[in-house]
Amino acid sequence: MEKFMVARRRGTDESTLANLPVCVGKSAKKQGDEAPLGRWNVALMLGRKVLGGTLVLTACLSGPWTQFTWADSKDGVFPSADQVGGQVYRDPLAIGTYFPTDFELYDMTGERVNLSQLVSVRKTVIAFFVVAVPASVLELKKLQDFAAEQVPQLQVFNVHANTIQADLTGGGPNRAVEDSIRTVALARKEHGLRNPTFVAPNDTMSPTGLSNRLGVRGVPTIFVLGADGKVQNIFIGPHNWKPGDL
Amino acid sequence: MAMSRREFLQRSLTFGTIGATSGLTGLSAFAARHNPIGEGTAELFEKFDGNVVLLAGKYSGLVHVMDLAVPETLAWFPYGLTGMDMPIAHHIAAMPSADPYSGFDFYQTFQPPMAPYVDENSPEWRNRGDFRMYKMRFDGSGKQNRISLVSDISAATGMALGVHVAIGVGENANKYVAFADGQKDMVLITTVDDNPKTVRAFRLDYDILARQLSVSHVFPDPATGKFDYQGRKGVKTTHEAMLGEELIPADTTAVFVDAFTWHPTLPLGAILIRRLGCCCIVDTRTWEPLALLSTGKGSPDNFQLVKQQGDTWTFSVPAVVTPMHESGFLTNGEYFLACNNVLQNLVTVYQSTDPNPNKWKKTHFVEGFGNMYMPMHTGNVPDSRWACLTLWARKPNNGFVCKIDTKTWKVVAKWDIGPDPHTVDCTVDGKYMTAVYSGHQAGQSGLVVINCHTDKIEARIPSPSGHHDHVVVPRDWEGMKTSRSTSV
Repeated sequence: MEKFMVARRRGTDESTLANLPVCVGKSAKKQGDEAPLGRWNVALMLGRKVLGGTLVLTACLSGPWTQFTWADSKDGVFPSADQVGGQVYRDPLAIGTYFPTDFELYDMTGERVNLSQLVSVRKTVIAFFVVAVPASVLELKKLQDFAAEQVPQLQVFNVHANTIQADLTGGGPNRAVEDSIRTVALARKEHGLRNPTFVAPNDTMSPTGLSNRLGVRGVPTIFVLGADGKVQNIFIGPHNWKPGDL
Repeated sequence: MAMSRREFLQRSLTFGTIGATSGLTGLSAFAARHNPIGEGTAELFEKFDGNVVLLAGKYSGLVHVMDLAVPETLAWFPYGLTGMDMPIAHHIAAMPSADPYSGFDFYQTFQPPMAPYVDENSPEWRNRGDFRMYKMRFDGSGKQNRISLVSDISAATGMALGVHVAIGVGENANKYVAFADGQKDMVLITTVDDNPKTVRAFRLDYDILARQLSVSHVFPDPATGKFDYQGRKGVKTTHEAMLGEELIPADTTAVFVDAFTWHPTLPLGAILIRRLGCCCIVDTRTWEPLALLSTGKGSPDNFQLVKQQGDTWTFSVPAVVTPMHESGFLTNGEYFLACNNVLQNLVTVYQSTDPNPNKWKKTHFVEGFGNMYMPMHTGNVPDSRWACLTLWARKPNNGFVCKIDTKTWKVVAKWDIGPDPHTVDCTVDGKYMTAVYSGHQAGQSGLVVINCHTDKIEARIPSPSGHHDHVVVPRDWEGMKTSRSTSV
């Protein structure tokens, strides 16, 4: 029984693989190809183990529905330029548009929070940062001090636009939010950050990933939202804050 | 059958030319090297005689020198002995040696393990490891082979960079070595002697609002003669962008510099700029940036210089249609290959024979890799007839290695060598291509040897070290052009 169909190498493949097409995309069409272990393939592997045959596998892999591709980090499919705004440095959300509030967000206790409730009917500043980018963390403190002095009534949120990948240390994706919160909490303590801070998972491979939706490539990127939820202003990169900016 | 060096030498004298008997024609009479004659695998590996492979263990933090013709490890060295906690032995390059079994020098870069073990500034990891560049030496001339540290180039220059290292070739042979780093976006050129001296340093910054790239010369403190960029000083991001992660939110000035590759026949070199999908071509006589190639399909051949002010050259980069990762020249220098990825997974081919790189044109595109496989590392052969490429894929996909016909620019062979394939490099005779796999994923891993002519995988050697890079030690400066200098 071929117990480990993907993870175990068969020595007899060494000479026969040459000149055969290696699987490109989601289907393996010739003998010798190793199909990528995507979501369909996992199901097929299970089906194969249960049914003990190869006909089901072959039939399923050749089906046109296996051509379906969705760019994200789960299956390792890279997005096309069209899917992420046409180029690397896409423009951020336009001023005057509604800021989306339906993305995943966690507070420092690990609780899922609803951003739409937090930003409703109040002018709000949302500062996107990543702890791995020192300039973005430093900007949070500058923003905090300036806002506290100039516009103390203003609501300012910090949003960490990434999660830690803990695969090699045994954590896997399930620990991503937990580890990110732990790291962000340390940054808050070390830099004296008092504004509410959240962690937002961000799959840069997915067209619907947070930074692709918002057009955030550089951090800090700071959105100023009106009480109506529309984007009033955007600040990208370190900024010399002055009255009127917020 | 084990044989001591004394026994081996005695037999050599007794039977005359041992090479004629065993095929190990490159055996040095003075190297501590095992003779496998009579062993079950001797015939299988003897065809690789003359090839000493240097393998950096990125996650194991050690380096080992392997005699491919036995095969056995000739010597190994754990970099933790130099005082680093969790060293990440990242990229490697070897100086040529007429008798690599007797000895050769090599360079090794390190980056802190906070990346990419975890891809952030996680508390447990952020103070471990270091950015460093070492010049190392393998000595096989005595009774016991050994590897030792020759010089800490980061300490000597005050600049510590952690990604690619590439040794000068052609007009720059036996003079310079280049180091690069994508967390600091810097390049350092030093001399290749045991007491390295700074030749030139660059820093690159992108203005995300003006959409302009600045390439600047940076200088050491005149009082100390050193830079102040050791350790983590100067980082824009605390981890190197993982493969295919060029779209991540990063410092607004970050461009993810990757390497400096050397033209084999012209006094030129290329600074590889991942996030901008660009390569800055530099005159290695004056170290002035001459051109900025825009490597994506559909973008112009190059981006225009806006201004030069003092030691800063500013180029307009209005749009980036795709990131790029590795790029380099063929052995003969006639073509420059740029491996675009993420948004365009294809190889752009420039004709690179004109001394003025602003005249280089895109002549071909090697395409058809789909949306899961990104062209990455390139391996050259002596006659430039082929180029081998790693096609890396994100988990859970394997990726593969392919051979490109440099006359038709078509893929003519592919090998699924295993998960997470990394660098490819040519044996000294040009007959075989070596490739390492699973530099990151901690599963199946090892080194394969591919016959460039029959397309057969001739051998597979296990290794648990987690190899992200390796190099076959070249025999001379001409051989250096097929090593990890012209391409990475």
